[in-house]
This record gives sequence, structure tokens and C-alpha cells, in this order.
Amino acid sequence: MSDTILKLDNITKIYGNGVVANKNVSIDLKKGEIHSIVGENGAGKSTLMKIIFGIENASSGTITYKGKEVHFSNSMEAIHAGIGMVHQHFMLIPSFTVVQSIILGMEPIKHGIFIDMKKALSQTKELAKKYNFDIDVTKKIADLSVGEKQKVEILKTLYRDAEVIILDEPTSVLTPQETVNLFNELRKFKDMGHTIVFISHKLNEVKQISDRITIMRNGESRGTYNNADITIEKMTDLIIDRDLITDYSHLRKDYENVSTVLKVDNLSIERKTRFILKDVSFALKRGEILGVAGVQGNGQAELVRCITGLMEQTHGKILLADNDISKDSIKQRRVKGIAYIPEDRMGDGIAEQASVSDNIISTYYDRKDINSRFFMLNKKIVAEADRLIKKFSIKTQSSKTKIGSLSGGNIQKVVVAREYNTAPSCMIAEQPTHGIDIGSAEFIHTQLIDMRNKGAGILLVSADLSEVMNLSDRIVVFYEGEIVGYFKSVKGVTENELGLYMLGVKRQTPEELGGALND
Amino acid sequence: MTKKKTKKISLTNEFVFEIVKTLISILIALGLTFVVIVLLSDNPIELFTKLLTAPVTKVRYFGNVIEMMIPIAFSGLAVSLLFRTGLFNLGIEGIYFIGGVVTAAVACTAIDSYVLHPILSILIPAIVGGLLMLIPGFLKAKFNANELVVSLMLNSIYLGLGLFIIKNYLRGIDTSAIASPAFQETAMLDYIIPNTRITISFFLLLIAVFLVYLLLYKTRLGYSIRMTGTNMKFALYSGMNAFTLFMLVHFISGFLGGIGTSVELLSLYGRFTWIVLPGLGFNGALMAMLGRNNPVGVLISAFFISYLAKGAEVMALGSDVPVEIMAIIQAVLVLLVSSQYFLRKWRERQLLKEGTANELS
Ligand SMILES: Nc1ncnc2c1ncn2[C@@H]1O[C@H](COP(=O)(O)OP(=O)(O)OP(=O)(O)O)[C@@H](O)[C@H]1O
Ligand SMILES: [Mg+2]
Repeated sequence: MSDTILKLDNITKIYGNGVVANKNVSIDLKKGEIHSIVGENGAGKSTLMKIIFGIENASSGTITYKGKEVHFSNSMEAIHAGIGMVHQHFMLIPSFTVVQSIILGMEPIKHGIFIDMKKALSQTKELAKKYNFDIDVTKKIADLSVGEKQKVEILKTLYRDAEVIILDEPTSVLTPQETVNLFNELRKFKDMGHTIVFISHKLNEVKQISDRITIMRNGESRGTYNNADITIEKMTDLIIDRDLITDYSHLRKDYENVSTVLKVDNLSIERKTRFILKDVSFALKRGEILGVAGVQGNGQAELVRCITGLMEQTHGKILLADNDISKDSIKQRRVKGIAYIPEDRMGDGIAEQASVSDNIISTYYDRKDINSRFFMLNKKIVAEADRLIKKFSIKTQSSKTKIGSLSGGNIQKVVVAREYNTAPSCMIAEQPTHGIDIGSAEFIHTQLIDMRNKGAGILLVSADLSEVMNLSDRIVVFYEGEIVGYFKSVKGVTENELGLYMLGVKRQTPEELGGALND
Repeated sequence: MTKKKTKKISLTNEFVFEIVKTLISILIALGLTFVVIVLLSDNPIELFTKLLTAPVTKVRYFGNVIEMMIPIAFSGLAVSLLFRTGLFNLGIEGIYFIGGVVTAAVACTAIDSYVLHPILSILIPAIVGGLLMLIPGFLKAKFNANELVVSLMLNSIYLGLGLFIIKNYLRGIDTSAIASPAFQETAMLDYIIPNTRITISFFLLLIAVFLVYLLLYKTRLGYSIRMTGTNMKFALYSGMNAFTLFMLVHFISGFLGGIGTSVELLSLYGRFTWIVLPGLGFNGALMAMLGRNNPVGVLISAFFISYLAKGAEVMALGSDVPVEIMAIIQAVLVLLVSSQYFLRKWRERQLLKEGTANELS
């Protein structure tokens, strides 16, 4: 393989609160390679990338880029030097449109001073098409789903045609097909001599795309391997030091009192020109996990927002244990037993500036056991937080640490722990393991199954098909705001077949679909 | 090996760092002031010493410091609650004005009780202040109207309305100025420390600081204020009711503003004489910023600024340095304290030292 383009030497990073995020990490990136970095949540992957990209300063150690030692003091310098980065937590401006975001800083110019918006528009559209990313480029960032924002981040970085492209968990909310498209493009970039750094918790993806793989553990590098020299099992071993459960079927126990906990009855959301949701009906029973499959942006997000009360439907009803909750406030729904793990963890899921303990009680902060008549009982809250931190192995200095300083996966764990802790009868889990490492994802999966066994109904919305297939008892498939496929059991269903429904190629008859409500 | 557990003050602690940063900001601001004094005067050392020590040289001076502190600390508390909720509302200025007119109306009414009259003269403006703040609160909660614009507009409206009331219904006939009649003697607050004009309002302030502290950090309402202030979407998602919260916060804020203006008038004025906005509410915004929206921080800032203001006033007497030097100090302070970058590099180096030391041990 060709020569080294970027070399990290003994990088150590100590954050403002004393956390040692990287310890003497040395990695060399070669020209024209795809180099993956894997490791548990909080291993220091994002930190290392931010150091390369000039967002964080290394406390010690050197970076050599194209033979010269460099010290980028901000990301602009890194960008000018030819480095691009897709951030784990997006850095997009909410009031910008997709086009504006993508061309920012690289605007096509006409007549010397004006931005050529026409050209920008056509270029962006072309770009999206090239990657088969189905996205309306005239939309505002604020109106996009997390998956769409992810795509904008990717397009924005690839548009800049950087020599070194860093992708921090770009695929965590992409569907398998979108990932395939992305990988094809990445390989093209590689063939043109670009260097790609790829971070993911999905080891099969890593195995598929990488030339070399570096494994991180606890801030340190545990070695760089040629792809051919390492198996997924070995990687797992180096990351978590044990084997993983891949099949959950033996954990499932049948729940006795099967009754409907959540019923969605002919739900529609009508906008001026089209239906976002159209006549969606299904029933979620106690003791089951109902999987919702579909390419993001086909109405699943809106369905969830209607159920949880963040959005209002135009027609139809939502029943929780036979009570119409369509008009209830968010709070009332929560009190009646709905919990919600939101897909947008940084926007809806947490308050970045607040502490872990403040964040871990937000949806039940008025619960009796942590309150007296007038005051909140700080000691009890801290004890509760500490218990959850332990149970979900959340990596944080203490419960008083600002949550924004936790790693992405650990933030997600706080959100899951909080919703779990409300002991809901109906759990809406949207991308519940988004950005979570393999060990913790397994833990969260077993917790969801445990809740199911104890009689909760779980609506699982996930872009990760294997997650849907692994956990669900029944599956519905969404396409353009409608349920187009229903599977009474996951047995015998292949990802391929689901894919056909997800892309709108196949569609079941109304009788077959009726099972979602009546089975 | 036994590790000694020393609880040494460490710069890596966020809270300690903030305090150190504030102290250093103060030193720099004072340093700059000194430079300005050197440029303007022949005996800079003497003047500078006066600036720093004058307020403690006489009981009367120190009393003045406390008197100046009280109204801006009240408005600072009021504004900090709004800021905490994420609302950039400067309406307390208008509340001070219109609340002052209400105070005058009550204080000029004959109520024959040395207990009841002051209580009513404080409580009624407080309630009116709270209710009036519900207007921008409602516009924000219901229509998401820009609270800054609305509050500035309301300030002008309250100024006009207040003047109209004073001129037409509450004009003192014993004075040629535009002012209310003299307050009834029964309404006025008594001086409680000889040689000063400090009244019971000082204790009211301490109680208010304590209550706001409890409210913010110990109650459910305070929790939802803090969460809404850092991430509104998150608060909504969690099920908190923004409408109720906004209304409550605005009311409490206006209530505090009403107390602030009434005790100011009942302690120091004797009649309502403002014909322009007094600036006390805007000053509150400054205190809120300097004090990081923390009630104790607000109190300390208000004291500190008042202390310097008195020092500057005494120093300016019979010297070439104008009292406006205060403005320099304030501006520099606000800039430094609110700057994210100031001292950060230095702190990072400390962290590295400490971090590597920890690694080695
Ligand atoms: N801004 C910050 N301030 C303080 N500590 C931080 C900050 N950012 C990250 N950390 C800490 O540094 C460690 C490494 O975090 P990092 O985000 O690099 O992990 P990661 O490997 O990317 O994890 P994930 O897979 O969850 O994204 C964590 O323990 C985290 O709590
Ligand atoms: Mg990360």
C-alpha cells in the first residue's frame, strides 16, 4: 500500500473536567485507504477525530500531515488543509436550507460576487442523486429527520472533495440500502487516492469496507490490523472482552394476559398537497415488540410524534388501554403509561448543559419518591441516578457531570435508562441503540425484551433492519405514510423481502394488512 | 502506598475556575481603571486608593452602597429568572416605572396604620408588576412573540402611561416639577441603622435572594425553569408545560420588580419624581449577567458594582477624573466575565499538568 498521509504520534487528551479521553494514541493513515476505528462507547474515538480536525487540542503528542507537523487551531484550518469530517452530532445550522448547508463556504459564484443559487441547486440535487439519497434539498435543516440530517452531513463533506475524509458514525441511522450506496461512493473516493477514516459500531460494516482497522479501548489503541488478519469475533473480543448474544429467542417468555395496550385507529396526517400518514391502523399488545420497518421519512417519525403528543393528527384516534388519548397533553400521556426514546437525542432527548442526574429524571421529575411536598429531594435523586448509571454502565465521572461532555453512546444510554425507569406500559423506542456499542446494545436489547416479558408493549422503530428482525414479534412496513406490509411472525421473513416493501415495490392486500390491527 | 487525600483547591474544578476567572476579570478591570486615572490625574495613587476604600471610610458612605445595591439586586433577581428560562426580556425596566406610579398612588392614599400602609404600598405594586408581566408572558407563551421586542415596546408604553397618570391624576400641587404629591408619612419605611438610609428593604432583599435560590435549585418549578432554559424542545418532550411555566416565571419576575421599585421609593424618595425610565431594570440585566443568573451571584454583583460606584463618586469629587469612569469598569467586567475564551488556554495547561501528575501517581 502507498505512503502515510497523516500520522498521529502519542496523542494524549485530557478534557477540562479531568477526563483522560486519549492516552498515547499513535495511528498512521495511508493514502488511499479506508481505515476504520472501532471501540466501546467513550473509548475516545470522536475525541481523536476532533483533534485531527482542529476542534479539540491534543494535550500532548504530535500530528504529522503530508510530512509536516501541523497544529490546526480550528476546523477551518483543517478544511483548508484538505480534511473533511462528518460529525457524530451534526453541526448544521437549523435555519439554513439543505442547499445552503451543503455549499456553505464553497458557494458557486457568478458575476464575481453573487452566489449562483441556480447552479448550487442543480449541483446539490445531482449530488444527492448520485448517492441515491432521497432528500428534498430545498427543505430547512430544522424540518429534517435525524436520518436526513445525517445525509446532509455526508453530502456536505463529500462535496468538499477532501483528501482525508473522517466519518464519525455516518451509518448509525441509515438504512442498509443507503449504507450500500455510501460504501460504493467511499470506495470510489478511495480509488481516487483519498483517505477515509470510518467509525462505526456495526462490525459487519467495518469488516466490509475497511482496509485496516484500529481498535480502541479506554482511550488507548489496542492495535491496528489488516482487515484480512482479523475476524469479527476477534474484534468483539478486543472491544468488550467477551462474546455477544446474537439470538435473543431463548430470552423471550410469553406474557399471559394478552390484551391491546395501544391501538392506532385510522390515523392520518393531511398536509396541503399530500398525506404524510394515511389511514394507519394497528394494535400493539402487552408482551410484544412490534417492529416498524421503513426507509426514514415515510411517516414513521410523524406516527411516533402523534402517539407521544408532540404532533396532532388530522384524522383518526389513538387509544391507550381502550382510552382515547388523542387529545391528551404530552404529560398526561406519559402519566398514563407511555414512554418515548426519541430519535433526536441531542434535540429532544437531553439538555446538554444540565447534569446527568437532571437529565435522567426529566420525564418523571415530579414523581413522589424523589419529592417532598415543596422540594425535590436531591439525595434521593442522586441515589436514583447512581443506580441507573450503574445498571446501564454509563461512563461518566459522576451524576453531577454535564451530560454534554459524555460520549455519544453514553448520552443515548442516559435517555434509554430514563425511559426504562418510568416502567411504562407502552414504550415507543425510536432508534433505541443509535450510536451504542455492541456490548451496550446487547444490554439494551435484553432490557427491552425483559420489559416485554413483563407485559409492556413496545413499538420499535429502527432503521437497523437486523435490530427489527432480531427483536420484533410482529412487523409492519411503512411506505409513503401507509402500512404496506404486515408480518405476523418474523420467521421466514428475509431482509430482502422487507426491502421490497420498504421501497414500495411490493404491497399487500387490505385483508392481509388488516392483521396488524386484528391479530 | 497510602494516598493522602488532600482536598486542595483545584483549578480544574468548573466552579472554582469560574470564581477565579471572575476575580481576575475584576483585577484587569481595576488595572485598566488605574491606567485611565494615571492618564487623567496628577496624584493617581491617592485617587485610586480613594476609589477602592472610600466606601468603608464612613458609615454614611457604606450605607449609600447598600442603598444603591437594593433596587438593582431586586431587578437583577427578577431578570435572572427570565434569563434562566431562556427569555431575553428586559421588561423589568418598565415595571419599575409603572410600579413606581402604583406605589405613589397607594402611598399617597390615607391609610391610618404604620404597619398596613407600607405593606400595601409594597404588595400592591408587586402584584400589579406581576400581572403586567403576564402580558409579554402570554404573548410569548401563546404566540411565540419575540420577548425582547415586546418588552422594549412595553417599557415605552409604561413610561407614557405612567407620566399620563402622574400629570393628570396624581400631580403634586405643592411642587412645580412633574411629580406626585408627597407620600403619606405612614407609608414611608423607617431607617433602621443610624447615619444611613437603610430600611427594612435590606432584609426583604436577603429573604428574596434566599427564596429565589430555593425556588431555582430545590423546587420542581425551578427544575423546569432550568431545563426549559437550556433546551426548550427537551422540556416539551419531557412533558413540561411551557405555557404555565412562562406565565408563572413572568409573574414572579414582575412581582420582584414591583417590590424593588416600591421599596426604593418608600426608602429614599418621599414622592414619585421620575420623568424618564430610571435605568434600574436595565441595570438588573447587567447584574444577572455578572452574577451568572445565580441569585447569590446577583447579590454579590450588585454589592460590588454599587461599592465601586460609590467609590468612583467620592473619588470624582474635587478631582479631574469624572465619575463616568464607572462605565469603563462595568463594560470591561461584563466583557471579560461573559467571554468563553478568556483564560481557557491557561486552564488547559493546568489540566494537563494535573492530569499527567495523576497518571503518574
Ligand atoms: N467536551 C468534553 N468534556 C469532557 N469530557 C469529554 C468531552 N467530550 C468527551 N468527553 C469524555 O471523553 C471520553 C471519550 O469520549 P468520546 O466522545 O471520544 O468517545 P467515543 O469513543 O466517540 O464514544 P461513542 O462511541 O459513544 O461516540 C468519554 O469518557 C467522555 O465522557
Ligand atoms: Mg463518538
